[in-house]
Amino acid sequence: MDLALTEIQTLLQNSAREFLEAEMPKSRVLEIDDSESGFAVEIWEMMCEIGWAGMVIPEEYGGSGNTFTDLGIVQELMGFYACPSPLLSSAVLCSQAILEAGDDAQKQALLPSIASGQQIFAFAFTEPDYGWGPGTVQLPASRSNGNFVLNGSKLFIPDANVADQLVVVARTSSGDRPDQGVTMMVVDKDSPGISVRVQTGWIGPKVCEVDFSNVEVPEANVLGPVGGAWPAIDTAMERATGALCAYMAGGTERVFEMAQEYSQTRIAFGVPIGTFQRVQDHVIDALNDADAAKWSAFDALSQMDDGDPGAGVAVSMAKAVVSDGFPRACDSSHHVHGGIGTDLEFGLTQYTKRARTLQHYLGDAIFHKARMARLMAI
Amino acid sequence: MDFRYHFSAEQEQFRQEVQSWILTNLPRESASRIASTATGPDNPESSPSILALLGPHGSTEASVTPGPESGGVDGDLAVVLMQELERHGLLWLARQSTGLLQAITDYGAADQHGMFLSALTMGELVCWTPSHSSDGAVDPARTPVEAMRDGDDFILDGTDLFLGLGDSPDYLWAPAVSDPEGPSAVVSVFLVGANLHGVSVSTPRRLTSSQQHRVAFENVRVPSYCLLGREGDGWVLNSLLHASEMDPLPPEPNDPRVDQLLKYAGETVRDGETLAGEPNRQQLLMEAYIDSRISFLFRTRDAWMSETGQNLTYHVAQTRQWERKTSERMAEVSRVVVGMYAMLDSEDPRAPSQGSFEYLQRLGVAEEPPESAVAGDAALIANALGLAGPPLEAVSETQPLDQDQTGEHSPPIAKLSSPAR
Repeated sequence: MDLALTEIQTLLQNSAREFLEAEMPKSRVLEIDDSESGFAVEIWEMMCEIGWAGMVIPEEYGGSGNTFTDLGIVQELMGFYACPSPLLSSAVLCSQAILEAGDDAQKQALLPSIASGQQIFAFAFTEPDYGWGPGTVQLPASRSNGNFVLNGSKLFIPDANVADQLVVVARTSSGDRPDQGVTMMVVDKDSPGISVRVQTGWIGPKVCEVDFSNVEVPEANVLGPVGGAWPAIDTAMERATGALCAYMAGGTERVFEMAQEYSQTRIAFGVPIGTFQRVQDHVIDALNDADAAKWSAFDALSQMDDGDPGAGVAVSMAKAVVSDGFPRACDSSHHVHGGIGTDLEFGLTQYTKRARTLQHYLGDAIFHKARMARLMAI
Repeated sequence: MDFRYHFSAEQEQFRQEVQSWILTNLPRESASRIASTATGPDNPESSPSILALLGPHGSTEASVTPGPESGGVDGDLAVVLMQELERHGLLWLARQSTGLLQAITDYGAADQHGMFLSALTMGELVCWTPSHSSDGAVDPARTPVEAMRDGDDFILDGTDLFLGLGDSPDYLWAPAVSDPEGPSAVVSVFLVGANLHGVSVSTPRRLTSSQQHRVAFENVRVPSYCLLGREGDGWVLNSLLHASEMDPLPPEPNDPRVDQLLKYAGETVRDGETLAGEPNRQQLLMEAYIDSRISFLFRTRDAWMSETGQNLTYHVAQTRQWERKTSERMAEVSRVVVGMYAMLDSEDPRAPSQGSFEYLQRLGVAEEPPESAVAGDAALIANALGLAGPPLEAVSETQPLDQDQTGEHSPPIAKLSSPAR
């Protein structure tokens, strides 16, 4: 049993904190969130420069081959500062999908540009029948003249508006099981027939509708076997979910700290409101959610690094914990803050918005509890 | 990071020894983590000291709980000991022994050292202690026993609850208000012989098998040499007695309650499908698993922080609070998943899992030992978070809680400390 960070991880944590502290004040986060794209290119370039985009890409493909725990340390801090970026979409989810399913030529062609940040990839999975299981993949990809042709829509796709390439999951055939007939392919976002619309609402990070109208994709762009991509997709999503849990754990930590600090400094009836038992209960609820999120996330990441056969259960458990806990901690923090908590400049709502959006991303608590049961074979 | 606890061969050997000793010497108790299938006597004829077990493994004069300062047994062995005692619902016994010996060592007179330390250690004397704790939930002014001076003696009157093995003890650690008419409560502790005239013991029926007893003191004349420490030391002594409750407990990777529930739900078919196959029940089962796993992770954190000399503040109280809530939740989940069968005890031939689910129902509302409640732990956490401090000097105008000054207040971004806050 050793929960300590290594010396290198501590250095990584310190440098990440220093960077985010300097570059991600809440005013900047609000500014980026309010922009049409939800993306700050200069921040992204700096992230790539310090190597974050290549962390979980092997050195042979231009990355630095860090562990998932290393990545979790960065993601946790990004969540703490509510940092918006396409890092999870591009450098984790898409890179892992390519690593798992691509052949060596595809990896050589695609991964270095992801690791350097030269190209941004977005993962186009969910559809109008929103869900994260293989059965929800219905976008048809039909064969025509040696190409696949896509017709239909993908919904709630983070970072599609700023991406250069899309990793699209489509259905090339129906099978006895829903995971049969699922195919994954890289699609140039500038291909004729693709349109991208940023969806509106209290959503963070920004998500997009991507429409495909007779979009032709060369067969060479297919990642993995035609109709047999599901195992690779599942693995990539599992790894990205581990990283996302760390991001959400960082956000949960922050809203707890905001509640704690506010309850110590806000005076009512002559005393800090933290002395009121009802307020204390809200702060403690947020603390419990924050700690449960943190330790379940890092337990999952650690098991992923060790190649533990139980890692899938641990990842799904962590996502179930953070999907419930992060929004609940935000609610607790809002109870403590009262009216000031709804002031956009104050900063709490930036977390609440993320909590309620990311709660669903890569599967909500219900999805992941069912996945746990499946993996545990009960 | 490594969340697994790696046990050495020496620890595993010691585990065998402890298990054997427990089976031989102690009744199988209602346990917090295993089903109550009482195979041993409720009250054994002898009530040996847990410390007698530890003689060959080190000093028996101080703590048996794990930690960097543990003196009673090597820290690695203490982990095993605590794990096994907890599995058998006997954790309180180790804590009681630790607290008693520590308090008598630190505060007892030379005569008391000679009379108690060795005898308690060897299991030759049984001493019961009050069953409430020092976590702040107990108001010293509400100590139910009074001690009035009468010449050189004290006269004790009142009734209190005590925790201990057996039908009757040799001695009682009796806290009493020794100046009930005074401006503030003066609590003192007496080591009272249980055979003194006026002492009577009864054992109330409780939801779970318990070693909790009611002791009445009726005009009990106690010589002043029975006073432990000085008059008024009671609160300090009480804190010392219960100090080990704030020691972290060793992580328990497998929760038998969850294992039993998953097994039953996976094997039992109703209405054409297994209980675990029904989506709503499946979700609840996974929630039970998650609650239990978080308990493990919190305990792992606490044990690691303790081993590495880090300052535990709210952590142990948080873990304990989580586990108490988990226990309530386990009762609820097993009731919903198992249905009516969850209410059948081990005596009913149709009871599943030897009545373990019925036992969870009892345990959910009567965790043993009856130390602090969830609210007491919440108070400890709030205190550790700095929420219960005195009012700040810079007092702003009083405002309703749902309003605030607009705009400018902005809590500074605090540094995320990792891995442990």
